[in-house]
Amino acid sequence: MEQNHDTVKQQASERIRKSGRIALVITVLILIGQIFSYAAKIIYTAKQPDTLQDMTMIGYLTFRPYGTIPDLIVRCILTFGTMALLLLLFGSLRKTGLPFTERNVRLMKAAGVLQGLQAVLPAVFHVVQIIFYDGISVVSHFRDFFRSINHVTFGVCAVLFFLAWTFRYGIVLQTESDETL
Amino acid sequence: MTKSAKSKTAIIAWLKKCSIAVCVLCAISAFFNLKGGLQMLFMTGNAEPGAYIFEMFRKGITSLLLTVIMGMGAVMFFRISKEDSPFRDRNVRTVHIIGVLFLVTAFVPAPAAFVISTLTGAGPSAIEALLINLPTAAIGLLMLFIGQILHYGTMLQLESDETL
Repeated sequence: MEQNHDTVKQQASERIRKSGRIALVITVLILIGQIFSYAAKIIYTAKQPDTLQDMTMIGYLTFRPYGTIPDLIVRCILTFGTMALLLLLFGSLRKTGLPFTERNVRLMKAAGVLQGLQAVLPAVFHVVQIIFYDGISVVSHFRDFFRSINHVTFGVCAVLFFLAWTFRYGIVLQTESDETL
Repeated sequence: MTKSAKSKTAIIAWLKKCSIAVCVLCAISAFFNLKGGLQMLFMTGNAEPGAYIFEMFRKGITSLLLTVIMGMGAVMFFRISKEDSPFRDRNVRTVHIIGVLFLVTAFVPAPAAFVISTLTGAGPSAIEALLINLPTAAIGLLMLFIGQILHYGTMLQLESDETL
């Protein structure tokens, strides 16, 4: 029975190694796509005429369809940071075929933190930029902040943290299995 | 209680709390996707013909598929919060089905919306039927990969249960 378990585990590990290669390729393609996307947005935003002189909401919204350049740069850094961590994770899985290691847990938690920042920081920038505009109450600022949070990215952050804890449980099982052998 | 058993219990307790939180997020997402999808599909009666109807059908079908995905995710995370391990065959199957549904969401809405809007006499150009949602396809493939990892964890869990 032990040999049967070992065989099945080895087969599962081999499948993870092969799938890790595909996951690595997909992540590289997404990274390349994101590089072009952010470059295009930054160039477009830099070339926009300055219609911000009148200090009105319409002037602000027509001037910055993708946000300000510092906002874009922060989002760009956080996205590339997350992609780099995922590349390291999938690279490790492709090499070893063993998903439940401390390194993988740390990588996943770090990716979750970056995604959490990516969900919240642009909302902070958005509110800070319009905080000096006339006619907007404090309640509206709070409402704008919660509306501006990227909910999809927040969900990804929650899933990454959940997976990190799942991997941590997997480490305990892996240690038990290795000690039994 | 041994150190390993203590850490296992503590980790399971944390996992159950995380599962509840993610379950709630999935349920909320399913609700808003259902609302948005039904709004899109029912509004097509008042929309202008042409590419606008195609876009509304495409977004409506996508939202309804995402509702199913988020609903399945909510059920799975609720189940994990009640059990003593995330590594069960049922969860592996659910993750695989979610991965396949993401792939369906990437490839099906555009051709389906094209057929429906053409039948109503207001179709866009044929090339728009070939629109593929690449990020969604990537998520689908990554979910299938996560399913493989969960399957490996299921093997370890089975071994642990048999040892006990």
